[in-house]
Amino acid sequence: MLLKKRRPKQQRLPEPVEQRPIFRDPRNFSLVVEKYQTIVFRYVFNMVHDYHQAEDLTQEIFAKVYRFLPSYNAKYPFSAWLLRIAHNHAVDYTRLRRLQTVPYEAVANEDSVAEDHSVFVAPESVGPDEVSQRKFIQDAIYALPVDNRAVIVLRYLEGVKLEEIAYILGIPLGTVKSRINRARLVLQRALAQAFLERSRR
Amino acid sequence: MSCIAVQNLISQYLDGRLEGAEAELVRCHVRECADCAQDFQDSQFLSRLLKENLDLPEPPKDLPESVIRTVERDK
Repeated sequence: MLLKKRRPKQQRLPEPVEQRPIFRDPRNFSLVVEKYQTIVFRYVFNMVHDYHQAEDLTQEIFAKVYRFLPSYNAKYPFSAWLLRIAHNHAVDYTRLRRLQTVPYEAVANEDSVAEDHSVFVAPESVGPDEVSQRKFIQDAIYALPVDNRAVIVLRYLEGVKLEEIAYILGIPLGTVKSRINRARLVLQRALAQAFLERSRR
Repeated sequence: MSCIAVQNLISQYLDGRLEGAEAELVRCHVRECADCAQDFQDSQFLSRLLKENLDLPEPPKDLPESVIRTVERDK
């Protein structure tokens, strides 16, 4: 007797809340924006380090998200899908800006440009030593190449899982780990330098 | 539990988002595995470093309305 081979049942992923038809109405889509605006805005801000530019880019990112909403397939969490769109958009912006402002040779040889357009000042309760130490650490983080900065921000600030970071950045898991290690070393060196300078005063 | 599974959970553990059995699994693994113990220590340090030293601005209050205006304009 021939036994019919049973096909493995395809697992259907549950439909994510954010993809429900109700959110195709722009007025309701604002609920999705409200829920995810902080993580997207903060991520973009840390990529471009400019408040007003981060605001413009975040608006464009959510407009893209609205357009692409039907293509989200729930294999990864909605926040990871959103951050993937945000990352690509922010990286496109930084590359375009560098092409417009930096000579070609410099772009080809250097993977990052440290931006310093922060509009924030340290709280008054923080002493001058702490201000300079904070600035030193910020400079070290913002001087990291944008791809290395992205893994550090996703991993240690937002607490994103390694596989999700690989998906967001579109790179293999092994590359995520090596970028984390490289960024850790750069930060360690910068911190050692900061403490050395502080102890000399 | 594999090392990669534990390393995936470390951030959630440090943020207090893990409870019960999962939290216990992370603690047990980190006690026995030198690589994951190192990752745990680094994560704890770097997570604090970033949260205490980076500017973490809030998005502008009218961001959702601005997005909706853009979406409706592009429609």
